[in-house]
Amino acid sequence: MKILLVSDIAQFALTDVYYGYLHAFQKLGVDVVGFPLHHFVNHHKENMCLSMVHSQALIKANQYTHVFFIGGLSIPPEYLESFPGIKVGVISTEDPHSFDPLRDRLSFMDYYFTNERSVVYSENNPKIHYCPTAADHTVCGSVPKNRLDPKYICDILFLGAIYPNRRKLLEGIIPWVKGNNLHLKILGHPQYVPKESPIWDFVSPENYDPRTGAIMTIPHEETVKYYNGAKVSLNFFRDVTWSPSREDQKNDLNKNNLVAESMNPRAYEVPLCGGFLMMEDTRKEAREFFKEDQVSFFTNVSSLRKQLNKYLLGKNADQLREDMSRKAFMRVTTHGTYMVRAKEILRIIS
Amino acid sequence: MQEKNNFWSERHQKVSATNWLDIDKDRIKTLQLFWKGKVRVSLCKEDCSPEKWWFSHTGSLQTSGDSRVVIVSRNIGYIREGRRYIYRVMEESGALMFDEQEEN
Repeated sequence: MKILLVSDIAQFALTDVYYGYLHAFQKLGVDVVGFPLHHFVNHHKENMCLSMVHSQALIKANQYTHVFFIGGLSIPPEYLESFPGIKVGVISTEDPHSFDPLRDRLSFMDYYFTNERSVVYSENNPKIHYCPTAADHTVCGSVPKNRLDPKYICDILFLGAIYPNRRKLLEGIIPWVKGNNLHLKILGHPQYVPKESPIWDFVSPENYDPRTGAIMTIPHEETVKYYNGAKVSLNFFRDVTWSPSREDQKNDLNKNNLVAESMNPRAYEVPLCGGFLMMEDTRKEAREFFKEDQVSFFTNVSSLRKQLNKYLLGKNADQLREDMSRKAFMRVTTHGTYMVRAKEILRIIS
Repeated sequence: MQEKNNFWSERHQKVSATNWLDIDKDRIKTLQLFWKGKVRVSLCKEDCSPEKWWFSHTGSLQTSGDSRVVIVSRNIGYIREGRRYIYRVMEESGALMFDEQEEN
């Protein structure tokens, strides 16, 4: 078996998934070669990059048996079936939000590893296998706060794209944060936030330059330091009915209205960095994976404020967070790393 | 049972760097790693289902002075289904890393 693992042209979280799987396959001793498509698209046209992947995969001397694409949304359907003698798979990252275009491609591939378990239940297709997101143990780890540069330290951290549902929750805690003189740090992609939002006061200069409006992506290695430096890391899930690419902002890539049940990579990464995770209670799987003595759950702004109060200002708050973080760390090391996922993929394709 | 250094072993009738040889690994129910008096890692038999417990130090030999070994990291873990699961705490910084390797 020899795998050609191809990253997505989009960067950000998808790149982290690509490296997570690449590191895991390598550590498992699998003959794997990575193709960082996201680097090549900076210098060549997209179809040229896909031709390079195609050529590399089909050179007989390379002896590839499998080609796996991370994400898969940018791969044309007919391209997926142009690898004679090689099994082709997609490891999706955006289900159920953008499942429809990938559903249309299913007949062109041999395996579809979805990050969303409701896709498996709804489709009943033997090509589809559930492969949740995870954290990369070769990148994530726990560093004591006194070893970190002050720029990584804060009381409350939100790191991610600020979609409208996330914006509402963040705006909802800002008066409480100010009233208690706490340090809230917001990093990620603020381009969807209206100019008048109070969120802008908390967006860090590390990823947004107010003079030029430039947004700088935070590399994964840096996010590890921020998760380590925060007392509490917030995790809001994506609203799968929302899309920035349409005028009415309604997502039209999930016409069957598949419900999101599974978690995002952040849910695994924060605990694997030894961080304390406060997570929105909207995904069924979150409650099944984590116990209440491992992470804190909230349902709305009011319960978020209540939880923040308990875990930042309450009695023995530091000890409580430390105990819960340690348990969550253990949980993720045994069940939530890319090593666990890669082993499952190998079991399926062997 | 706690780790002891420069330990006189009655069983082996010699001084060892640690008392590890005197620990009956089959009786371990929970394996914990402390750093500066605080638990950094706690492994329970029920959660990990270990076939075998495992612990080690990584160190470097100090070449000047009394050539003693300076500990770089303390590691605990377990072996299961041909894989070694390692929890490593760096002695100086307290950084905690998890690793998984093939057991040779």
